[in-house]
Amino acid sequence: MSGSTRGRERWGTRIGLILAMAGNAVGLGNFLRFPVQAAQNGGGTFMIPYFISFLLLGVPLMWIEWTIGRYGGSRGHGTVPGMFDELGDRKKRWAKYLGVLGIVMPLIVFIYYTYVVSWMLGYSFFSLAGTYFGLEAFEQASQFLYTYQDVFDTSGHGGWVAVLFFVLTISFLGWVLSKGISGGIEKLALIGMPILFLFAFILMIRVLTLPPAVASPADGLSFIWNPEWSSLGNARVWLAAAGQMFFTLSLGIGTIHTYSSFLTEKDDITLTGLSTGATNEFAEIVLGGTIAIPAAVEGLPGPDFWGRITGFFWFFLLFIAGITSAVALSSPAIAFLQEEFRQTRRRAVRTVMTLALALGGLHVIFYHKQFLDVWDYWAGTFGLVLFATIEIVLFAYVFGIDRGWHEMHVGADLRVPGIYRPVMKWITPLFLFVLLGWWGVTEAVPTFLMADVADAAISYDPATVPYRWLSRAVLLGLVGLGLYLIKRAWAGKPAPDSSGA
Amino acid sequence: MNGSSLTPFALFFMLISMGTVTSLTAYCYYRILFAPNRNPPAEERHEGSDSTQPVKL
Repeated sequence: MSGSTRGRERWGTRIGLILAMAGNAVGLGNFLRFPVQAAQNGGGTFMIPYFISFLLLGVPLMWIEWTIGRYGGSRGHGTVPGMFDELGDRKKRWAKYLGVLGIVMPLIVFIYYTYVVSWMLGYSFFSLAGTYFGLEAFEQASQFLYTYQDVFDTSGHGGWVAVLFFVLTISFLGWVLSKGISGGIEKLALIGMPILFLFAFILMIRVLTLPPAVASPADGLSFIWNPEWSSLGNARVWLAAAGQMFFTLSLGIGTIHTYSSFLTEKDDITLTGLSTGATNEFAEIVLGGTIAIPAAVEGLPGPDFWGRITGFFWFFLLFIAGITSAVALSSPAIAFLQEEFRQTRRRAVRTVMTLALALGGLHVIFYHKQFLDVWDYWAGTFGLVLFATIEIVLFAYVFGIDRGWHEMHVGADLRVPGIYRPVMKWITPLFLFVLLGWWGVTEAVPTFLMADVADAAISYDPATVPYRWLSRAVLLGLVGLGLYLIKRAWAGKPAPDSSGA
Repeated sequence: MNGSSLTPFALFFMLISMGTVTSLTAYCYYRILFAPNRNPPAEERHEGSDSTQPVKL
């Protein structure tokens, strides 16, 4: 991890980089989303499309994002607009505007994700305090969470509690981020990730050895792993597996680009990138596949000392998984302000955290009006596939697969199998276009038209419609602001060197 | 079906999946810690395939 990157910050150690990248990838989705996806999409047989998606979509995209990030970083760009500008035809200078997705989307997700992560901090305290014990029925537990999320509901613990934990989480993140890449993000990963894995192992052992209150551990595991062979013929299952790749590996959002921009030109990305992907998969399949659903099936522990500790371990594990992802999500916006507007790191962090607090406040106030759902769908789901499709076309066809393949192997400790060259050029783009088309037709259009309001089966409250439009307006406003800032940042730059050297 | 007792196929899928990712993770960390440059890319071996030609960037 040595060399010069034009005076930019750099990672201190390779293991620190791997854990920070793994921390970016390992999030709430590993422990909450994966087991539900597996259980709903064929159980054990879900792993067949899952692994195929990992090999044909996840791994190639991950290597491509690491390559784009290091390539851009070596040319002084820590964010996607500058990186796309370097990949594209710089005389036309259009590609940087597509890169707006790589700043605005992670910022959008950061804002609402941090609010959700703050719930985990709140629940960690509730576990130690024994606040939610005794809520045996699902309805009781749901009502407890509902009142926590509603700042105007004072029937439970008072609406201010959710605000308090949100402010605490934002403050903690601001403190970590202001310490910089090596002194803040890397240290958080070096401390947080081992704790996360330790807690997860303890919980896994606890869940698999728990005296069954309702069912045995094997019954709990059966919910996730029992195969439904007919699901393999269902296109939705294959697309669900492909979609899970984006969430679990944090692809198509711009965080990998920013993190790998802090590498030097000769640092390995093939073996290091694969290691972070493998670490994430281990957390997802081995740990995520054995904790949440089996624990829910077996029955929650009681309010005794060990019950409280177990609850604390679970929610604090989710909190750590969440904050290590949140620091990554905020990094592109911070790097953009630092590098394109010459702000100091502290000032850039302050700007982003203030914006997060202000816009996060809208989520706190309007959570039950589907305000968050709008952002989650357009930026946190559909936007990921859109961004990944744009970047792979730029990488494989504008930059060129030959240059990209060469760039990927500079300083590499692992030779990428040659089969991945045609995969990156043909198979992965095709996979992405199919995914984009399918989701576009089946989900994006009905979601845009708010078809669920008229669907009696879903029974969304029509009163949420104005709030959802407000949410969309704020979303579009952020994209517009991002485009304006890119235009302003590039206005003062010298004309590109046509030699490309 | 989900929810019944763990079937032999479920156990098979679980062990294969967990074994695969555990092996991959162990292999990666072994390479990083003990053999970081055991299999250097072709460009460092000067093999000369088109993928290894220096590219002016």
